[in-house]
Amino acid sequence: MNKRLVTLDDIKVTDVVYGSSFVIGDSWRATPFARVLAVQKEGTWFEEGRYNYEDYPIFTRQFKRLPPTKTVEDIHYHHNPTINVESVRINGVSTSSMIQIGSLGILEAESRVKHFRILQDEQEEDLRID
Amino acid sequence: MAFIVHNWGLNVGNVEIAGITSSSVFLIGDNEQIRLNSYFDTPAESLIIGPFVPLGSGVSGDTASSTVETVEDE
Repeated sequence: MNKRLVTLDDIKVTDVVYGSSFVIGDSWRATPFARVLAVQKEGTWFEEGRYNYEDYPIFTRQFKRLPPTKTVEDIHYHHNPTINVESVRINGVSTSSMIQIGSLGILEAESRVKHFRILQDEQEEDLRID
Repeated sequence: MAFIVHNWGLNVGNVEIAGITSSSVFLIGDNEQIRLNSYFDTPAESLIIGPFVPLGSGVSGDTASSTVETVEDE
């Protein structure tokens, strides 16, 4: 399939974080991935190296793949060679995501996020209040 | 089977997006194949902060029946 050109007058992106990308132009293949251990802890100190990817199955389990399907012959007629966009405003792009202005062949993105909330013992707090 | 597409023209005005997260994509252009995978695990007592509103399966307007369930990793 022939790829169309893109004309874009104005774009503003504020944040591009955690394995994300913002691409202007064409690309053939992109495979971003992100593994995140998000720790929110009550208290004043933080132990480094306490959280390891190997300890949580979310980081090793396989993603389900779609069963292979029959291919369909397709023909695309681009009667207008450009896609025209006036303006784009994006606040943030995060965790192996993508913004692309232009054509993209193959995109395979993966993200795995594990959240933790470590709260202080409520009983302990109650005693202190009494 | 013949799959024939006629792209007569595409003109867009203004686009505004708050966030693109966790293996998502915003693309202006042509594409052949996209595969996006995401695993997300969060404890039940976590706070929900941000623009993502949990959607319930109840009738529209019946917001009281909306629940969020989390499943622990095996």
